[in-house]
Amino acid sequence: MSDIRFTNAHKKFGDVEVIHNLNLHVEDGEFIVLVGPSGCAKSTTLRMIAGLERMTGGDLHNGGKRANSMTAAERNISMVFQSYALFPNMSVRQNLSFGLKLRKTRATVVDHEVARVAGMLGLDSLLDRKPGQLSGGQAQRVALGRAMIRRPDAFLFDEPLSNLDAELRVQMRGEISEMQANLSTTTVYVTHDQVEAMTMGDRIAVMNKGEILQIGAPADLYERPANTFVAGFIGSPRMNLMPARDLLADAEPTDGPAHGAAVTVGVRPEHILVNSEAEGTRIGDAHVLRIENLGHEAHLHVRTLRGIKLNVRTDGEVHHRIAQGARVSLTVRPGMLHTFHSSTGECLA
Amino acid sequence: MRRGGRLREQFSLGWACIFTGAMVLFSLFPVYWVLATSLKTRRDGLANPPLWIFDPTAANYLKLWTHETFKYTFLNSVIVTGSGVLLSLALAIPTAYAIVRMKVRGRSLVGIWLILAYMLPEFLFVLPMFSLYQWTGLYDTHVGLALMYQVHVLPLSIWLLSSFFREINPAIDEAARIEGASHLHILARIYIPCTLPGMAATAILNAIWIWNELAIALGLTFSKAQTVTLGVTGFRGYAALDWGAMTGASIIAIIPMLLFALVAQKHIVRGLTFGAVKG
Ligand SMILES: Nc1ncnc2c1ncn2[C@@H]1O[C@H](COP(=O)(O)OP(=O)(O)OP(=O)(O)O)[C@@H](O)[C@H]1O
Ligand SMILES: [Mg+2]
Repeated sequence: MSDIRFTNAHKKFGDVEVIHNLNLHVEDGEFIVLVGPSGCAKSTTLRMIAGLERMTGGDLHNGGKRANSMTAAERNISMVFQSYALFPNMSVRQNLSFGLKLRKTRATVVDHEVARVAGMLGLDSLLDRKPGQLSGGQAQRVALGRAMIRRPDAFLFDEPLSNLDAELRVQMRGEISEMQANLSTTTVYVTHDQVEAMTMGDRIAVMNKGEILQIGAPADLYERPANTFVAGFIGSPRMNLMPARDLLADAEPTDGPAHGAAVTVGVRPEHILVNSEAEGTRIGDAHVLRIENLGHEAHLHVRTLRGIKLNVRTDGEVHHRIAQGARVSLTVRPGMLHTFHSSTGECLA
Repeated sequence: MRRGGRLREQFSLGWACIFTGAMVLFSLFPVYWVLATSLKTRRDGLANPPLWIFDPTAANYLKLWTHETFKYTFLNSVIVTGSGVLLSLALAIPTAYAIVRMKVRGRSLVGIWLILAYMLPEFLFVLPMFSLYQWTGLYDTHVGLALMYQVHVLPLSIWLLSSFFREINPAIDEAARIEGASHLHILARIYIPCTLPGMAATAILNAIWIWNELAIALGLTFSKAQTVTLGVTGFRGYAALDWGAMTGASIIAIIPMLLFALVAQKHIVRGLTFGAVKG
């Protein structure tokens, strides 16, 4: 058993409280992704799990044991850093074996484990290099190897792929997911990347200002965001959010509760249909301001006759049918209109 | 027009070379003069006006070779410098690490200490320490000198080392802690190996300062622990000055530091400019 549980955790830096009352349970073997805007205390949360920061209130349990005052070394947790943090004066082999040697592992076992991990990650030919002689992707693999060689109770990742180029990122994303699935080691993964968040984790926790606003399976968060923050944060391009009376003034058929003055509505760009006869809520006509064509899809920036700007996502062939400046009619697909309380931002439905 | 510009450029470059050359000659002249005097016979050395062309002689050096007191002070300097440098590193390395990575506040204090140590004359420390040293038995001992020198070399060492340590990515430290390393282990296995050029630069600067120091050595030693700088001045008798021996002794006293500086020049420059941390 190696679950991680925060109960009413607090963290202050001096007088500034960056985490207020955090409750989070990462189950044994689960892969949790932490997302949120910069400065929302994702790294701080991770560092408290690792034992690099002390909590200023509340409890942390690791595998059922209270870990509040355990040192980093006592926790048997591995962490992969954004900057890789390889030991620059040591070879790849020494980097991999560092933790095992500190735990007084027998030399034959160390050699065997280094060979095993190097084989898994394709590092065999790099074992005698120094970190300075590695490419970003290779350095990232060494960091992964160093994290997994000890067979820790949990993996922590702090934006591990953000220094890699797009192609490598896709590849490493797959490798980390596979590795985690094979080892079924409890994992907490911090990222800024929508795709990583949606594809890697069993559950996503969306944080803002030191609080978890919603936690759930990726599809749940996408389909049923609990508040405007999560609605705007999950999904790319972002959900269109605006006062209900702006969007729905000309709408037909009139759609139940969404009309009140204190209601914010949200609709994802992919749920708005252009010049369509299909069923749904008609929200009137708009002018196309700009078309961004990505090939497999296109993003339309439109302005309704009432002056509301919306983002619409369509297929990549849309430019054959619609030109910039054209007037189009917009329809929201049935059931795809999200409604939130204007002042609290909480979901109404 | 363009040619005019080129010419003017070359002209000013020429002036710069001449000026720099003159400054180098000017600053090296005393060394040359000491060297020349040490190679003159007693009579040539005292000639007035001074002789520019003379028959060089090794007599002064041969005399020093058998001069027991001078040899003794030279050895003292080696001991005091060696132990002073070791002590300064032994104290400065953990202190710098604590300041940089263990959130121990004190860098500004070290800064003030550094400025004081450079601003105040050494003799100011010597006078009050004199009686304390006699009382504790540190007077005229190697240990006593090496300790006293820390007042001066420690702040500089802590200052330099902490700026070298600061260049190391703190995540490296954290990664090592998560892997199970203690602070001492991190220091010994990562920080020191990663800052060797900086360590060397610090050690060399300290060694040069200690080796050349005169005022403290004069105040806190009498005979047993006299250093080479005092050995050199020792050729100034009550009645007469043995110029030949004294200049010869000076040259011998300069040589170790000169060799040291030449061999280590690379380290000093690297350590004090960009590459204090090996990547
Ligand atoms: N050592 C520290 N001392 C004081 N404040 C800190 C310290 N570390 C972090 N903070 C503050 O705590 C808050 C959370 O920081 P944290 O690094 O956890 O954010 P983050 O979510 O990881 O951001 P990013 O996405 O930019 O990495 C920030 O406001 C930050 O300024
Ligand atoms: Mg962070």
